[in-house]
Amino acid sequence: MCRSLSAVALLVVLGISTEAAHGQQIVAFPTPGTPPKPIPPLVGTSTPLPNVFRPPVESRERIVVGVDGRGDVLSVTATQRLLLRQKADYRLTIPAPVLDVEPGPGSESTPGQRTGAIIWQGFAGGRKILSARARLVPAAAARGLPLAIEIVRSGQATTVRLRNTTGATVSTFSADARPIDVARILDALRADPAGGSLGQAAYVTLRTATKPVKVRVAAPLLVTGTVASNGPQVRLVLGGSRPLVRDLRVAAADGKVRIRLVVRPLAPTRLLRPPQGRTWTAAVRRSHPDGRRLLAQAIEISLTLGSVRQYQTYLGTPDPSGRASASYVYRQVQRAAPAVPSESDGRGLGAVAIGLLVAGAILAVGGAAVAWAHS
Amino acid sequence: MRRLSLLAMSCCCLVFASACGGSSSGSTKTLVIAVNAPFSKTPYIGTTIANGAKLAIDELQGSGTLPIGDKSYRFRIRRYDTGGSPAAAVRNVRRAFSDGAVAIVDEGTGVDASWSIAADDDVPIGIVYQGGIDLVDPQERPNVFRIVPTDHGIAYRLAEYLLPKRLKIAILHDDSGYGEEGAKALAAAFSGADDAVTTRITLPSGATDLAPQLLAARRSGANAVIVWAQAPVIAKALIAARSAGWDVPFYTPPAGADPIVRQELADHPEWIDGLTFASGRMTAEEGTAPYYTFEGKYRQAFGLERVGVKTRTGNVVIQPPEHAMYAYDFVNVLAAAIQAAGDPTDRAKVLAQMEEVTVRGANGDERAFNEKNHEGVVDDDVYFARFHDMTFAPVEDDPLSSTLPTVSQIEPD
Amino acid sequence: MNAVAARTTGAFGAALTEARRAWRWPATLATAAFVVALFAPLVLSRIQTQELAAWLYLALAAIGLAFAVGLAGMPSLCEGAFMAVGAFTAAQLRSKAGADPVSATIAGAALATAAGALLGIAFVRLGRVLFAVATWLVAWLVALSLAAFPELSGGARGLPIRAGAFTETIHYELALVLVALAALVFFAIARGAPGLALAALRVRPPAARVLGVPATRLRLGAFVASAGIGGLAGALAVQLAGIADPAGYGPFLSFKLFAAVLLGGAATALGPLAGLAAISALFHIAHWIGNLENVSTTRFEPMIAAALLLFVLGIGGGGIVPWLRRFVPARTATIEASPAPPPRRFAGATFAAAGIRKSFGGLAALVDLSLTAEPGTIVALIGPNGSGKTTALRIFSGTLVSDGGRLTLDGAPLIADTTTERVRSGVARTLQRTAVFDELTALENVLVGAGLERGYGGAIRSALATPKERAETERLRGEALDILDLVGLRAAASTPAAHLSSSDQRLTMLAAALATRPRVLLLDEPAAGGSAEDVARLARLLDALRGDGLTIVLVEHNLRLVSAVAERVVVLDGGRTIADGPPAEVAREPTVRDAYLGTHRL
Repeated sequence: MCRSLSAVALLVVLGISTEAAHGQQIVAFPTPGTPPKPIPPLVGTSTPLPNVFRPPVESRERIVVGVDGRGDVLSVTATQRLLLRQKADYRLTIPAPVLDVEPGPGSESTPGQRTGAIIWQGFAGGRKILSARARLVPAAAARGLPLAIEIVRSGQATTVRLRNTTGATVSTFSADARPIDVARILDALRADPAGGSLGQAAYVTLRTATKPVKVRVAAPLLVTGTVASNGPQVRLVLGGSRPLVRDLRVAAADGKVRIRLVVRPLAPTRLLRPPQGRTWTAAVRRSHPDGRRLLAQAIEISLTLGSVRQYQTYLGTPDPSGRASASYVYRQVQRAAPAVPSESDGRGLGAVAIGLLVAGAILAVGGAAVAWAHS
Repeated sequence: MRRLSLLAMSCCCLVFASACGGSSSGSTKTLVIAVNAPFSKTPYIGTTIANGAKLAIDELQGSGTLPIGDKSYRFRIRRYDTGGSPAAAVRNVRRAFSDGAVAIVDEGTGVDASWSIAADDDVPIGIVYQGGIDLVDPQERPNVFRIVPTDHGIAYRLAEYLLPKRLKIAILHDDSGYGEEGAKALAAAFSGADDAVTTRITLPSGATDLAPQLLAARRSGANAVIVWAQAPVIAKALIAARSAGWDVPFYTPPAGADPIVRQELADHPEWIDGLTFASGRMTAEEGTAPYYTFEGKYRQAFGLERVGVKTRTGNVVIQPPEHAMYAYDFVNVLAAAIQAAGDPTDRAKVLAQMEEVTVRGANGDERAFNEKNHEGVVDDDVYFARFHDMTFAPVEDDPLSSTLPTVSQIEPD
Repeated sequence: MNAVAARTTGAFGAALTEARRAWRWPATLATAAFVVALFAPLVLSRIQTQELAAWLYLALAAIGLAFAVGLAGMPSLCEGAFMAVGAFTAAQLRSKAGADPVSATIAGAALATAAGALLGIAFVRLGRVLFAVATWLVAWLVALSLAAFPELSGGARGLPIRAGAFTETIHYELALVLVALAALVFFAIARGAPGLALAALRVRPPAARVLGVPATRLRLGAFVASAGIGGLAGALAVQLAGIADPAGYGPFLSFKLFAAVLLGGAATALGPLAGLAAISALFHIAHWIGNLENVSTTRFEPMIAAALLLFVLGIGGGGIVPWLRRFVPARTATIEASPAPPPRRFAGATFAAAGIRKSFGGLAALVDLSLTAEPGTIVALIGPNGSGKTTALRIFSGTLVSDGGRLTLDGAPLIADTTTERVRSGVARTLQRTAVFDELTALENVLVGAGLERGYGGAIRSALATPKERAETERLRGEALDILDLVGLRAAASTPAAHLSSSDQRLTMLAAALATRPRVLLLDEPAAGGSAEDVARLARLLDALRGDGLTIVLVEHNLRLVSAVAERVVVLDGGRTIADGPPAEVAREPTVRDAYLGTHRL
């Protein structure tokens, strides 16, 4: 009897275990290291040699965007400042649709230019600043900009529409995950929004099978500046929990439309804050949240961080885990008038002048002949 | 009879005239790459430049031809001696065109005048020795390229290296074009550090004894000397200083590594110990393998370049083929441009492609140009090496140099 | 207007007729060669055209040098320096000031001409050796200055010059035309009055001076011309080269040009071209040999040029072109009979010397010499050797300045100080020693003297062969033949003076002096070395001249001649006049017998 009962118990335990094992899987978590959109960083056309450097490399960019009276992009100039902190050789290729490049402020070396890339090559003796100011092909560069401006005039009023273009639909998954796993990931992201502390991949244990879902993410943008010559200061956020599009009306009293805006990708720090407690791990232990909902939230946060990171590296940095930041300055500029070819460039002497020359020559020769004959 | 003679003469003239220009045999056309260098005045420089160019061409076409587009071409290296004269250099460029040259590998003398002659025919000139900054200007001189460290780069590295040592430096330069350009670069590099420079003296190239100039330098209170001059003048300056018992450190541009300097001081090898020169790094970010591969190929083709001196232990000293690398790289860039253009006779296209192509250089560095930059060697890539016992090694007190390996300069058994 | 047109067309017609008459096959050959050379760029490559143009510019400089060396006999060793002045002036203007090629060229040539004028004023009076040394130093000075002032010369990098509108072909054609013009001008001047005068100066400067040849002016003119042509060549050549390289304008350039001129024939128009061609050919052969052994032969070029020069100097001769001329049958010049000339009249003048004194150091050569010679008279000055006769003549002719005394001509003081000016005043002299211009014919010797009278014989008119110059030449030629007829040498007019007998040479000297149209003729031992027949002929000549009204002062040792022709005899001894009177009277003076006559008789 006892032997039978033990066998049944064993079978039941085995059965339960098997059943439990069958319901759990460990999957990779989509980290911020995977950008939601193909660009930015911008791409070039050349096939670069592998980068050679010793991390970390910090990147800071300032992108000046010239827009016309309709908000269309006329010019894009990106200034990138790379800081190398290690003593080592370096060879860096920054792909970009480059028209020309020159050393930027404070650069301790001169950048090279290839078709579709900025090249750095040399030796860093411990701390070296590489700064490049690159003029980019407007059409190709505009595809990587976070903000689109549309200026619409109707009658007396003008509307400046600001649209956050960082949005992307990402295919991901939904499942019931172990909340504690998700909490640890959220704590790690909170400590390092770039996802560096997560390592190459982070994993979560799922209690159910995954279901494919599509998630719409966008990098929140902090937009400051003015849109009119006498208009009020603008300070708004596009994205995050706020709309991605915002219309600003420019009244006659505000003067002419004049775009001077600074756009910075904004890390969703609010989203990263745990609902209670100091850490997500503590919050999960206290509240026992729904694993599926928590996982969805974490994926959304991670993809949003990825989008923010993407727009912090407009030109790209050789060190994916290094610190990066970017600001976008939108300025309204005049569209250059097309050059009118001058009609008479280099035509040389006219017929009259040639005639005069010939006549003069004949007179001179004749005069010389007469002088000779009388001398 | 008279008419027949006239006819015969006319035929001869026509045949003679038609013989001018590129030669062709059958469907293979021979194209010339001219090497314009002072073969008679500084044979080491001229020969290494020519050898580097030849090695590149031989590698590309082997013993046959180079297919380009739907045709085959045979490239030939032809030497033109400038004798150090800019007028001769200009004449050589004209002669090179007459001989069908598609490019000029140039030491740098006379480029100020010859570039415009070459530009009329869209022929690229590659400077592979002289580093004067205004020799190259992509806007003004779109057909002039350079693969060699610039004087500006070397001078600024010298300043960067020496100023922290708080030395009192006498700057000496000779009256050659090389020396005068170097003097200008040093003046710019050391501007703002006037208290570091005690005197600037011009050394006459033709003088047999530089004792008065070195004495003047010594009297200025200098405890270090930069000599920017051609190799024979560097040797004379060193001899003048050491024979007067003046043992201050000497610093030179790449000419200090010229074998002539060691040959002139063969009787007093201890006088050359401590001579430090700045030059383009031979090994690159890739590591040492590409350079040693190149060195092996060069030696297989041209043999060992013996300096003509021995170490104290009797080992024969050989010279690394560093100058040859630049000519080698330029010819490879040229070949890539010709391939990309698809027709070596379409010069405008070849010239345009010179700013598009990228090749791996002899030492592993990327070599390429663009419309804004015709310099193939970045200023960062200058290192310092010091002589000891007739061979040199990278210095330890410079961040870049201390990371570089010592290239062997002893003839293997 | 019609008259002007008619005169112009007539002048051209006459010139053409004359040219056709004088045309010879070497001229045909040269013209054909020039025409063929004009079309050379059609068959040559660009580099060949360019190199040929460069060579032609050098040839232009060589022809310019021939003006100084060949025409004037001045061994100028600084032609390369003038090329350098022209070259670097043009280079500076083109590269720094952005000047056009024409202005730069003109400026270069002008500056070189000015430099030539300054140096010429300083050096033209020097003897040949010192002149050569001085010009050689100038060549060194210019080369060293270019090295010492890199701001001027561009230093070791040189001065690059961006190509202007002048292509290689334009340079070639321009160089060819300039060489042809320079050769033609050289030829015309050599054959004209300036050429004759310069030839006389070249061969016998003292004899030329006593015929009134303006030595300083002519030599200066030749030197300045060579400088200007050198500067022009340099200014153009540097623009063709595209770079002014100081190393290319060292003393060797001057030496090479000098060697080329001497090698080819300094006194010929095409000699410099031939010499330069020979030197260039040798350099090319040396390069070719050097290329076989992969050896640069550039440094051997000075040695080759020096060896060639030594060869030329060693074998003597005039150079390649004169040597080649030997194989050209000489055309015997026929002296056409000119219509009977009007009777020659010499207007004499009263020549008076009063109280003439001259000492050399402590030695008194002349003490209070006084004499008067009236028109149509012959006054003889005799005395033992060293008595001061020739000194007196030298003072009378202006060659020497007296320490005191007075000379008058027709009562007016003779204030002209130089020999040339004295000759212009009408006082001509023959030299004591036989001093004809060997290279010239007897007629040309006389024409040297006739040059004094020329109003249209300048260098430019000679070069352009203007109608007035040609007409004057023809007139003077007739007068010269007339004078030769007078002295009995009409038949020897075309004979080179070197081939004449000694007495005929002395007669030629006399004829040349007569061609200056003197009013007073000073003869220094015209009968020396002559036979009795020669003396008799001379006596008849002097009689004829006296009959024409000429005033003659005769210094002679031949007492037979003196007694035959002189109305008065002045006897000098130790610089003092010991007798003065008719020959018979003087002969009776005991002091004269003791001092001079001895057993001889007047």
